[in-house]
Amino acid sequence: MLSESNNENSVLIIGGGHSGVSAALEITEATNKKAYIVEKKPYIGGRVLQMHKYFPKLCPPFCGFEINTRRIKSTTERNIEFFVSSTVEEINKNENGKGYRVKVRQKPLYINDNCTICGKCAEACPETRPNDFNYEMDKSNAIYLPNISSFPLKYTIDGNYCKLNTCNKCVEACKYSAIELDAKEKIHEFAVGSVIFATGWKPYNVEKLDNLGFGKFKNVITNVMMERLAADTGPTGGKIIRPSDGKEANKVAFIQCAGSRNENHLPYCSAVCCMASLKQAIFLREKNPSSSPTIFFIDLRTPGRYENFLNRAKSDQNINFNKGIVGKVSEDPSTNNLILDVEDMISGKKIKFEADMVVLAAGMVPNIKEDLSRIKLGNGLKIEIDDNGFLFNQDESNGIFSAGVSKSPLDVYLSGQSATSCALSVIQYDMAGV
Amino acid sequence: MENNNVIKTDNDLIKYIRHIGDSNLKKCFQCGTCSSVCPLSTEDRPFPRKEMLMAGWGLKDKLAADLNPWLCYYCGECSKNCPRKAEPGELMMSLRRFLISAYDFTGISRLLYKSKFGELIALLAVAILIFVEWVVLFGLTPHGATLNQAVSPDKIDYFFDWPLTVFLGVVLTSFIFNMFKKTVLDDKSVKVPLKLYITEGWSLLFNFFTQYRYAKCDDDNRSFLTKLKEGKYNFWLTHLFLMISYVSLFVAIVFFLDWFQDESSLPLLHVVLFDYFASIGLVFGTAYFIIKRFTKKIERSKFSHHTDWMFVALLFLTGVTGVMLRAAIVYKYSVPVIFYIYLIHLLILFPMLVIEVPFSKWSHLAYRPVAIYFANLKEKAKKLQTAGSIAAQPETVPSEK
Repeated sequence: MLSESNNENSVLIIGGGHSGVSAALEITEATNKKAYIVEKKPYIGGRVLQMHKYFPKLCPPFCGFEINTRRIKSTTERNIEFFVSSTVEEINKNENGKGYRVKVRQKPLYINDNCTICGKCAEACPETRPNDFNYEMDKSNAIYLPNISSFPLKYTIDGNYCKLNTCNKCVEACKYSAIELDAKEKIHEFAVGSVIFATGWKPYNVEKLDNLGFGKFKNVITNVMMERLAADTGPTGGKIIRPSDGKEANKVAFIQCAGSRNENHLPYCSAVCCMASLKQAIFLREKNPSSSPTIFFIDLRTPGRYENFLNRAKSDQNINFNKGIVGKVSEDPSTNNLILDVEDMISGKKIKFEADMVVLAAGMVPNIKEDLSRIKLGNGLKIEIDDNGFLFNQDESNGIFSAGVSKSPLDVYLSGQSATSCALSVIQYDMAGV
Repeated sequence: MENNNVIKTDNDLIKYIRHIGDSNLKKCFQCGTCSSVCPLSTEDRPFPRKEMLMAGWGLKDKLAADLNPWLCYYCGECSKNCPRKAEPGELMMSLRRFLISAYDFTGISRLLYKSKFGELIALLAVAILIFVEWVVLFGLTPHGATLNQAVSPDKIDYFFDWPLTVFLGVVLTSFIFNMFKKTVLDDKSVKVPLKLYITEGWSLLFNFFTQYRYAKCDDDNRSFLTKLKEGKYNFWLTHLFLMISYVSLFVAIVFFLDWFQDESSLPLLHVVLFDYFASIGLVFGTAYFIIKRFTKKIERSKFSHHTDWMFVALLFLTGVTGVMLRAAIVYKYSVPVIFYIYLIHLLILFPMLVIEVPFSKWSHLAYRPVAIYFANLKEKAKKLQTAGSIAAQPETVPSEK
């Protein structure tokens, strides 16, 4: 791998999710620029891979992301360099005011390209770790395959849980000499012309909404956890069951705006949760025909053609809608069922709604603020983010761009669009500078 | 809902409501959090979400016919949880102010609520009237060797206390009737049978003397004693203490003024009940609420309208001058000293009673229990109606096997 390059025309892309990879592809396909993708996870693909299905077509995530990986492999592979398990340490503005020097720290890559994902190492591994891919609902071995669509497609080792050379069981099990437990971390330094933040998002910490009982009651989960429960590769093998007793969840309550549109939490609308909950209600009904989901909402935001998706959900008599948001969730300790205090605005009554399971539509929190706090910005470089934590075109004149949820709350489809528009901005920025 | 009705909105009303309180009612986006977290609203009577809507639209008739603001005790859960920081709890407070002016057909309340100076001028006018009356009856300096000669209790009764009591009784009763008409009689959806007025009478007295709804603000399942120890009931108990002190002093002074002007041969009950219990209640209670309003630590004391300040301040000063007057009598101060303290006491007491009782914040003492009573009546009547209509219906629907 290259560790030093002087391509002044290249671009640093922080974040290897759907937006970052899309932007890299658009740029490298259209120009001879080089793109460096820095991804903190050991695989490329980001959050979309953790979805069970996309809306509105209800296709699985790899069908969308596969197009991207194919594009990477076809024409532009040599122009995109990936740094997985890596974080940006420093971005220093060049003395002449144009372009940046970047320092990237890459964690030790214990597995080399010999890996055939045969899985013998994981069988031999005695250590376990909470599986972040499944939102810690299950565990994996310390040596693990992050997910079935991993790119690069190889096992990885969680340095926080692996005993490394004191154990060595995986090395003994591996027939292909793919494991190097003495690998060291690497520092990569290179020059770039512009920077794209595609650092994505994380679900809002819904424990802060103490009225809604997440963290207190086992059967209150978040929408992202619901995706993993439904996924065939998830902790339950695709069965939507209650965490407390493993019984099939029939009466599922979806509580919208858990954190979003709330001035005590996230003042903005997270833009995807209404569609996500409609989608989850639909696939819950498909998986479990005796289920009856109810969506508790302020108003359902399904703009443009997404209206058709809302109508599709509404056409199912067993998908219920309650106008009125839930104020309080409590638990019946004998059944672990949940009691929701809520006003049904249509009937004008305040009701107590009993549910098997509650799914909170956790809002989207942009990662960029947290990520920026770990990056040393040198030579007078300043990156301004707005009050809500998004980078929205503020620093484009300096060659600092954003794509995806770094820019504003977006769904997968619009993230792709924002990546394309960001790529064009990068190209235009360089042309203007010539 | 009535289909043929055009919804009448009143922009001036919206302005008025925003003027008499600090609610950001225009920020409300009708999510329903407030109604669902409210510990006092019930299945059939969710509030304050609808009130936010009605106030935001200026639905005057609907608001004037609404009893819910009186059922709200400003626990503050709604305001704490409101995702828009629209302050629904404060809106309910503003609506209580609006309702006081809506029941008052003279328009005086509206004036007092609208203008700080209006209130001051009204209080001053009453004070001047009382001063003139005093000078005419008793002069500018005391005439006579004893207090009872200088200030005859009979004259106080005939020219001050009893006319005032009659005035307050008549005015307040007529306002309550107005309230009754707007909230019960004009509500065509429910007809209250006569018998219910008597059988539900207990709720009027019960709520007047216990203010029990305050206790419901903390609706978790912990025991009464734990919550008492944690101070959850401090506000309620202080308020109750103050109210009982006030009422017992008011009644006793109006009917047994002799007791208070007499420095000797007091029954023990009097000393304990009035000189200690009620006096402490009045001064301590008002001081407590003044402190709460200054520190603004709890939701229900976060915002103070000028009428709130005027009410607690006048009540506090009435209490303090009353205690001073009584002390001067008991400790046998010279007649002129007592004479002037007496005058000052009346100059504070009477403006407060004449202005605050029927036209301003004091009136909640009457409206709250009455509103709970009316609400109970309507609820029971509705239940009887639905039970009646179900019984009257022939079995057309086949019963499920």
